[in-house]
Amino acid sequence: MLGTVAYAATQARIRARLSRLISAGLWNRLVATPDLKAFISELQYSTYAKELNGDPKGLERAFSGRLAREAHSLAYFLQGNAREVVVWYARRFEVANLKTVLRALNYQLSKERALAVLLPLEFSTLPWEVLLEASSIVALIERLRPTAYARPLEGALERYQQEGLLYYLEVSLDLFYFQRLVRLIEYLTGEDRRQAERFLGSWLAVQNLLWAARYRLYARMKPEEIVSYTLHRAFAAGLESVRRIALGIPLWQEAGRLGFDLNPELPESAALIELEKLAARALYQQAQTTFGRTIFHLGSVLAYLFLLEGEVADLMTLLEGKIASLTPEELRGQLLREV
Amino acid sequence: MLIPEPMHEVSLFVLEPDLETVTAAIAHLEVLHIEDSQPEAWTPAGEWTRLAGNYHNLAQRLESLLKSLEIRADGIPFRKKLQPSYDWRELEAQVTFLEGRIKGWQQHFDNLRQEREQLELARVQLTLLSPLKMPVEELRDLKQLRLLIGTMPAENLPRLGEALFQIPFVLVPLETEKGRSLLVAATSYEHAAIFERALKSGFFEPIELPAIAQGSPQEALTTLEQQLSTSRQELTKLQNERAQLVDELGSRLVGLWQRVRGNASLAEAIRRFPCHGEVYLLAGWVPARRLDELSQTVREVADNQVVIEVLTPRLKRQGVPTLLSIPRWLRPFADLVTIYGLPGYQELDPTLIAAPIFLLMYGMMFGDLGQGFLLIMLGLALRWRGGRLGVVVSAAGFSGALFGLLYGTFFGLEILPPLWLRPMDHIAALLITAIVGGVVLLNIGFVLNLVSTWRSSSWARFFLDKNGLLGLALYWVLLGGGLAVARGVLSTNLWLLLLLIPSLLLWLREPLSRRLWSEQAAPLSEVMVTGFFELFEAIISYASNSLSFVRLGAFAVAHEGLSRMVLQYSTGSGGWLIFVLGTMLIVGFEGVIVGIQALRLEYYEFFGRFFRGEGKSYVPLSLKGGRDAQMGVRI
Repeated sequence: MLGTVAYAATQARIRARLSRLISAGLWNRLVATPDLKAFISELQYSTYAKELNGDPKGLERAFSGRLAREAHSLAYFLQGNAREVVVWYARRFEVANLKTVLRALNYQLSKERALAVLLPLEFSTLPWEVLLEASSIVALIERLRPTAYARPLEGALERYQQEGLLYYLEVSLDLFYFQRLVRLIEYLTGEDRRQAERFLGSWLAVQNLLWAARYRLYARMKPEEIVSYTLHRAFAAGLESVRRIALGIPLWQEAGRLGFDLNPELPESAALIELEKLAARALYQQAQTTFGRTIFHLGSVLAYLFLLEGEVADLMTLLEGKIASLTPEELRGQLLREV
Repeated sequence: MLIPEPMHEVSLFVLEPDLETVTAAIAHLEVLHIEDSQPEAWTPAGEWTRLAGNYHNLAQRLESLLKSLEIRADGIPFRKKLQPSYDWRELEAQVTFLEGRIKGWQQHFDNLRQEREQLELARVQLTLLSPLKMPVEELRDLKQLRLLIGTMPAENLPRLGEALFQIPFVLVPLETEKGRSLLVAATSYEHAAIFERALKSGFFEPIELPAIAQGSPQEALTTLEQQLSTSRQELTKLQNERAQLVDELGSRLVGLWQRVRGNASLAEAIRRFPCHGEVYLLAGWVPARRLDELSQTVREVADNQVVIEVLTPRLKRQGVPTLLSIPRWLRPFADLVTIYGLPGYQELDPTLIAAPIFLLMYGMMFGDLGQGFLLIMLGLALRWRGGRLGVVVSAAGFSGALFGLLYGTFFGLEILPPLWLRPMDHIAALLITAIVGGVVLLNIGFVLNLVSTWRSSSWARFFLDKNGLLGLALYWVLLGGGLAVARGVLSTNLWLLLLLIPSLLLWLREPLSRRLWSEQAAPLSEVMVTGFFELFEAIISYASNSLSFVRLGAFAVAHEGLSRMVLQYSTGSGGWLIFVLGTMLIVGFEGVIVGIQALRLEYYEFFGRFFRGEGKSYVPLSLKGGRDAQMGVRI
């Protein structure tokens, strides 16, 4: 009962926020703009106007910060495990920032340079400046001691120190983050669980498959390494899928099991890009259809977040496209949203 | 008391020769909250960034010495003269000298500790292998089996088994400490490559079989025990030496650490001051009541060679730090507010109002003279142990005891005549009182929001916000009109018409704000849709917020019911035990739940009307240092 009441309030809020997404008319105008200047000027008519103050390069940061803010603020109205899931989902931006800090310390970048690329996360209580002032990765982990991030980093620290590869710390952090997300989804029950699997579960499954395939293709990892660096529980693409990919099954075949129709003739690298695009588009469309009826469960929150994420991804595609002087026709094929 | 302390924005233009003395004097005063500023053509001085880094390293070196001698340095700031640029060489030389005195012992101690750890680990390994009769040296050179002993993150252990899906293997986890599992892992030699790759990718760290061990595991264990005994004696000797070192150098080390820390704080502060030629700009915030003290001190130490600019910020100004002025007796209750958020500079500080409201709500839900008295005792005990929460618990107990008199209950026994009513006998009256109390509280919230927005001249929020004048009108048309319709004083049609006016205005809030006060607003089409949903949400929330207070009465009834139940089961032999346990459960468990409910009502229903709690804490420059203390996130 309480959950339904909480979702009623959230639902009202989401309905209001849906109206702030870019309308079809403005979207068409944005795609049709001849250059970057016109694109930015057209974007002034959207709710993204306040993020346009800085230079275009900083827009990605601002947009991602907005995504994190929205996710976190919606979580505020949820309860129990559903709230935990959305809060943790929003924390992936914090993990992204932590990776930036790790890189800055590893490559000895200046604090100012690193701060300039950190995502603006209002909800995060991590003191980024203090973290960037750490004298080494070891000191950083020491400073992160009160947080849950210290342990996964510490686990990979010795290997990092032996080989000097940041990859070990990053993969350890990622595994920690995603394993916890899977666990939190598994704690959900009823319709919330079903919806979380529908959105986050599908997203995690594709991500897991993409990691496994990339490890095989680009890092030339052996099966046992691929299995070690991927998720074993990732809904439709768990351990068995990872093992099959690790042992050499073509990506199109495994993607077919998830319902994605890839051309078997495509080279593996192109298949990877295609799968990523198809999956993002499928999630976007799934999110769009969710709002056709009244819903009092986690699905509404996740659908809204995926819509917003899709919109931000498309805006970034457009931004980069305008910088590269691509024509509207060339850009249309790259977008998640149908224009 | 109801508003944060007024602040002044101060800019001190100081000449380079006076820079350190002025900064030190300000740090001793603990009055200036430094604000990073960089006017055009002013730049931070690079040499101070270097010096701050140097002091930081020096402090770390000293902390390492203090740690190795197990000396706890207190947080008392250094009160004598500090001059970071001048002191640096002398302090560095002193630390180097002390390192020379202590490092030799420290090296010896660390080596011995490391050696002991290895011996202890070897003992675990050999105990495991003790059933084997073969010599340890042969185990190192197994021809058919790849055997590894080592540690890995405990959470990776189950994953390792899955990663080894292509080969036969044995994994024997032994123990887990500090998140790492010690395990023995083995496979046949032909699969060694896959095996080692999987272990490596699971962050496995191998431990070599002890080179010192020779012969059968049992023989090796005996030798090992002898070595451990010798090592223990050596350790005792080194610990005695440490005690001598502490006697000899302890106070000098502590004094030095305080001085280094003080200088580090100053260097860190100066690093943030921009300079132009020989002039440095020290900008920040100072409480109005301490402005004269700051000006006078700075003029004195700089021999009047200083320019002081003072600005009084407008209330709308962002980024002004908040210093709350709370009387001593009210301080324990400040946490009730700061848990929610620190008031912004332009906001009202609700502590004075929040404290009695919390106590009133708590007492109403937990009314019992005897149990309230127990809570008072518990609070006093907590206070005696140094906890600030103790005062709040005692006050909550006092309120519970007062309501106990009103309800006439003593440990659930109805032995006193009620001064007001008995909850179980007058449930409807209690619930209605609770809702009426809630309505009063919400109205106080509206009024506080009006005061707050009036002070900061936020006219759009004052007039047209859902918590502003318009919201208040809508709330009363809804509530008062609804009651009037129910009593037949007002026709439904007229009520709906009356409702329509504030509703329409609230719906059109954004375009009206844009027209009247040139506030920014989204395009009209969007505003119309969002405005409608916000209106809908506001109406729902007025009703739900008011009804939410019904829990005050419901909990009072539940409390009495629970107490009666405990009494009912407390008859017969052993009844006293049930009574004691039941009362403990009520005071401990229900006491906490009631506290959470009271906080919830205060935060969501009351604070939500007028309080944002997004203030920035006023942290004046001091010699105490400790920026890392801000770290406190726990996920």
